[in-house]
Amino acid sequence: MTLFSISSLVRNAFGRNQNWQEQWSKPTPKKHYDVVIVGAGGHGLGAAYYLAKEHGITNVVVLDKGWLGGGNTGRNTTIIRSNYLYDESAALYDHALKLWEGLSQALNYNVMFSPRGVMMLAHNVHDVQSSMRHIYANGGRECL
Amino acid sequence: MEAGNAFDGGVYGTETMHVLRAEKGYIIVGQETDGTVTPDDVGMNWIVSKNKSDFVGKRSLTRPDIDAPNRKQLVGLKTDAPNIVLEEGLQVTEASGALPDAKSIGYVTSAYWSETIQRSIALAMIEDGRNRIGKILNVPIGAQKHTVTIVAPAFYDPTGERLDA
Repeated sequence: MTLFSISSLVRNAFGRNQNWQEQWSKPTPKKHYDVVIVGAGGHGLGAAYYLAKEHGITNVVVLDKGWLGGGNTGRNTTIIRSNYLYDESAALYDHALKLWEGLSQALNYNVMFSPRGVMMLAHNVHDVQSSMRHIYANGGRECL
Repeated sequence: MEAGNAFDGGVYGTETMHVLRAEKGYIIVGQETDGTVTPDDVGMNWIVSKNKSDFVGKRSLTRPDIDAPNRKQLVGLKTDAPNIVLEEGLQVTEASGALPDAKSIGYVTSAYWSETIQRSIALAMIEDGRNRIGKILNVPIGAQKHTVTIVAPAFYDPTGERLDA
């Protein structure tokens, strides 16, 4: 995997960004792995990364017929957020959101994480009712 | 109009209907309920057939979580201050203090001023709500909070005497 630095960014900018190498490897598969992960999207890569980082399980293969993050991760809304409705799931999303904050540094790869606000429009009475419930579930009007 | 006077009749619109049904504790599907709510949660077990061998959704009603002890159930809320009308969507907590520190145990689904009984009324989905009737809970709004008492979800004609007259 390419290591990014100021000089590599400058060098490639002058090369019109034509010379970047692919960010994944194509080694011959081994006979045996401790873990086989199917799908190199956000979940698959995340699982592989944290298996290695947190659990010391490094004999891992991630398989994909396409490219890294080329599924839902590559064509989502580009928004990640944790202000959902149910406490149980919101806590999980909140934890994930905090992981994103350090990912660019940890991976030496710009994951384009940029915290900002979100505006949602309610179009009718029912939307307003639903939105208010969401807002209060997330701690009240201060969250607006 | 005049002919109806003898029967307490009058003209009404949809806003009135919303209040009338809440006074009686009738739910609006999509307002009191969302995808997590079962007929039993809103006290409507009578609507589920016990004789039909199968129907759409029958399997869902046999899943373990359906009998979980902390399911949210439909109840009524009376604000201690009768003229305070709660906002729909507000969270209800057991402990004192403002969210998010206090754990939410439910939320307000409907809230109106009831002209008939001259006080504010509200419907809410509260964890283990039917066993908490008579209990006092908090409804925090930012730094403020309102105190509410849990009641059965029928503010008017609870026994159906007038309905069946």
